[in-house]
Amino acid sequence: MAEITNNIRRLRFNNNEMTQAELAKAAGVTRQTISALEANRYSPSLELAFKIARVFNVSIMDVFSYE
Amino acid sequence: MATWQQLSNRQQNILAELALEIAVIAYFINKIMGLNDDTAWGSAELGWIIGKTVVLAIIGAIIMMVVINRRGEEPADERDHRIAARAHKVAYLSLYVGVCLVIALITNSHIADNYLFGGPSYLSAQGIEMNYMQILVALLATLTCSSVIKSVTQLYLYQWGRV
Repeated sequence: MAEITNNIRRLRFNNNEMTQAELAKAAGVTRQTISALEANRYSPSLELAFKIARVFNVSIMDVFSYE
Repeated sequence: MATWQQLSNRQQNILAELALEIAVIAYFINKIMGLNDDTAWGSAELGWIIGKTVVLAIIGAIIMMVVINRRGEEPADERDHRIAARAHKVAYLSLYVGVCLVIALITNSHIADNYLFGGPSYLSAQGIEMNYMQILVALLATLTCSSVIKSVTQLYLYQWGRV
């Protein structure tokens, strides 16, 4: 079954090894939500997906993929 | 299995709520079991137990609220809302089933006999009719069960669920 996957962990690492807490604060969610996203246990809303992409200054397709 | 420190503030609060609910249920069951067999269901003794249990639950909820406010609960995000919505859905379903069962028990001469059991139900065969106190206890049990189910569902979704 197709599912939404993401590169958040890699993007964090490439962005000065940003912590989950820092990303969470920048995106306006809890650290647990970022953790769940990285573990593919949570599919974000479109709004959160855009916020995360904006934090990394990349397009939404560079963060999330549907496969 | 996550330890207490690994759980988020919100998960700890839900776990504490669940512990309170289970403590209240345990207290109630313990008191009910301690009654003599010949205690009437409508007796003042039973009413007193229910009253004390309700007061205990209210005091526990107030203490819990004070503790949570002191710790400062982090604001809920979209995942928290989604998990809460799912848990409420499951709890609503359990409440619905529970209330239907209570209604079936109340009117067991009609619904339970003809539709649930396909003949005379055990209760009606025994000539047992539910009185107001039994109905109250059954409704309280249904409410408490759905609340416990809500908390357990939330904890499961936070720890292992895909939402």
